[in-house]
Amino acid sequence: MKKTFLKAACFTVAVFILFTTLTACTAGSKTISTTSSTAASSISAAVSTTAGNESVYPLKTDVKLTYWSEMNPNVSANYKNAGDTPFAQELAKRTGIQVEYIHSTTDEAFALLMASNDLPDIIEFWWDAYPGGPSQALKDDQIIALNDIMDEHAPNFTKWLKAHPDVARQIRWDEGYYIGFPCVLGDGKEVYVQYGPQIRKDLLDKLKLSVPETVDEWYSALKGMKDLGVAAPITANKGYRIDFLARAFGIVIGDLKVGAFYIEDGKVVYGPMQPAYKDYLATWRKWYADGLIDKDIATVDGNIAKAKILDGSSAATVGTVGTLYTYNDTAQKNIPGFQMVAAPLPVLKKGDVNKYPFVENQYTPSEVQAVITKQCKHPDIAARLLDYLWSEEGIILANWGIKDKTYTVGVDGKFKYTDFVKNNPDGWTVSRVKGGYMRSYASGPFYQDVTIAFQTYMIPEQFEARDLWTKTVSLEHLLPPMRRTASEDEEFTKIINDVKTYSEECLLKFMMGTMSLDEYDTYTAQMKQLGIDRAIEIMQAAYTRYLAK
Amino acid sequence: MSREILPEIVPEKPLLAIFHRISKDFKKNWFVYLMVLPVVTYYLIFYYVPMYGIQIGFKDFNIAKGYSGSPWVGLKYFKMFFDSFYLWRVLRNTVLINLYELIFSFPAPILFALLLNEVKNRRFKKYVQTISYLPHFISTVVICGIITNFCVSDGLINDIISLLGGERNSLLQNVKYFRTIFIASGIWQGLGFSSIIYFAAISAVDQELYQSAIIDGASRFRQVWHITLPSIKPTIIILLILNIGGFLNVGFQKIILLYNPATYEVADVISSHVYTYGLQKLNWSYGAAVGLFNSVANLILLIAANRVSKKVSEISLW
Repeated sequence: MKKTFLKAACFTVAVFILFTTLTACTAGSKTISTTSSTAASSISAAVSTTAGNESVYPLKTDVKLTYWSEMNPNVSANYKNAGDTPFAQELAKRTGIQVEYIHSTTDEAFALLMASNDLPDIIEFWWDAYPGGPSQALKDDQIIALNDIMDEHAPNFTKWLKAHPDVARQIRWDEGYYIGFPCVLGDGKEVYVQYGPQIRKDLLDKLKLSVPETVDEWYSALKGMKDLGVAAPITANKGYRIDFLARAFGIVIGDLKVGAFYIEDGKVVYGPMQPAYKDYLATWRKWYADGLIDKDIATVDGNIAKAKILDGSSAATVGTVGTLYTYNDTAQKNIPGFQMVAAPLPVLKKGDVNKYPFVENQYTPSEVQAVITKQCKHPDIAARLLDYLWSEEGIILANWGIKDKTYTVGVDGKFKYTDFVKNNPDGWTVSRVKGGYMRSYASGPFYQDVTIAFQTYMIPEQFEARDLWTKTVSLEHLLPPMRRTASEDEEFTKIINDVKTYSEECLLKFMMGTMSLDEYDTYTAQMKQLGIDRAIEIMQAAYTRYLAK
Repeated sequence: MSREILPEIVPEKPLLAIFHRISKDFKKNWFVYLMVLPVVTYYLIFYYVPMYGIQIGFKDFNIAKGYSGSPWVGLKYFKMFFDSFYLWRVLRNTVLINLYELIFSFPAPILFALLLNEVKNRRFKKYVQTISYLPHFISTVVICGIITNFCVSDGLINDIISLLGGERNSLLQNVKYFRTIFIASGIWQGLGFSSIIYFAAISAVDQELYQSAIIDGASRFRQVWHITLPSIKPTIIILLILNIGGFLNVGFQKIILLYNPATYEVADVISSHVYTYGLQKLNWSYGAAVGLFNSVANLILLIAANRVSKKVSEISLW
């Protein structure tokens, strides 16, 4: 009897294990939910087609669209599915289009989706991740271009493009088509300047120095702070942003890949190959030898850098306007009198203006885009849905949320976030409230109003920072968002990866003194051998193509 | 389970003989086969079947076109890998790190198991053992965060160094210390868990052997040397062969989290190199090609190690 029972038990366990193994074969987890209980029918009802007339909304249609996107942590903190957010519901109400939002949580979600050949109607993602880029996806017949349907079914977007020909040119592909609704940063100089140098004003006051403007003034300020006992005067996240010093020499280092290319006299150049790079390295090396730069500069990550600033072992860094608040607010408790202010980008000669600020284009091809797939049976309705965010009300909805709930309009016409956003009664952070009521918590396929950032400024230092960094913003050296062809890109990627690794290593070696500046020529020779000239050629070709658009 | 003595049989074709043997065994022990079935199915479905995907290493894989639609490009990606400027450096680093691990990380759990086995207090032994395998379960990301924090100029390790009179140094930026930090932290994390199998092997040693050795006058050390070690020799050798079979693998996660431009020279390994090269553009073909190269090289090493082991010690995987 016992033996048969044992056999039966073994049998059950074996079968059970088999089934659990096989369930792993099924597709990865997906969270699907519906915005409302309307039945999913694909019968499209009559849609008003008065082009350019916004009274087209809400559409009278029964079509339900499927919308695939990544779930942002600010949303997922409080909602299981984007469709549950008040934003989505308001959007559905205003456009009259029911949307089923699909999210996937695995890393390879996008790849799996594209490989599955079962595409939803709209996909919002960083389409640069598709091998060959979105234009390849177009060639592979996975998505559609908007050109044929734009005029009639996306009038707001079309109107916006006509009003912004420069940005339109950036968004438009060389071959002339528009793929997807892009993420565009708003008009207004402020949007360009992402971050800048920051320094401890209270220490400067102690040293009786003013906020440094030239490279030499920076040197004296940092040296003075070092004598005051600051162990690592200047630090930054993984060291890249300290290329603010290089920018004083007219060199942009950026990420040492595409970010290190910029325009000089109408030609595309690569920062570390410029002659002034050697001068920059000499100064940089001196700063390091004199102990002004954090010794751990290559290993410091965001958290460690923040900790160093907050406990006083560092006194200067490069950061965003947001971090200014974090520093000033948190450090007060430990260090009385702590005051972090923004400093201008340094220059070589007093009175000069730094022409190489930390700027970004209004449109970056590698950002998120919402595209309509080939399998969408109602591209016209999909276009209408996405187009809504480009209408006047849509822009307000995406950026500010719902009137009187998340924003108010003052007598002067100025928009302001309400206390519901800034001091949420349920204790939600600003980003999470935004996650529920708007789309401006992150980038998305809409036009981002630049003034929303100012709403969350808490201290005067932030406003001063914004004014200081945008005062002299200049785009003359910024590389526009150009595109390389698929074959160019393959060649380019191969070269630039090796170039980046080598440049990074040498930069650190020159800084630490492991490589002496006498070996600089070996450095440039090796760069050439790695193919940097060809890479510059490729970028130049892309640039010329861009200008000819 | 009694074995019945088979009557004289007419020799049949070997394949048929195997089939008959299995079916006879099956009738008696079908539940054992059933228990193995999930495991075999698992390996078949998740390891053998996907092997046909290796072809993407020879193709310009495009997700939209799928396996059959993507064009053949032959050895293009293999050439790309072998042509890369940093190939030798990357290969050297991979092999060196694995070599150091072989010399240091491999014996460590054995030593630990042997030493802890000598401890008489059973409760102490159990506590130490349990605590020792806790680090294994901590994720790599957390471990690397801890290591980075400790190795910073004003971090814990530097505090100790300066207490002992040394100079503070940014340890993770020093080419000389990277491998030490990498391997030492690996030992710390893996020691306990890897020693479990040795504990199991040691506990399987017949106690009578020890008793007769004591009668013969053997000291503790001699007992370990002449009884324990030889008894666990098969375990050690099998694990050694498996270790050699992974010689070209160094997990990229820990490397990427710990390295920085100052240490690329010693830290960049095949996996981290492929990651920066291939993954960013979802270049699966490249990843597949290098992965295939890795696997083939590892397989050759594994077979060689197995053969050598068979000759030298008569212990082998197959």
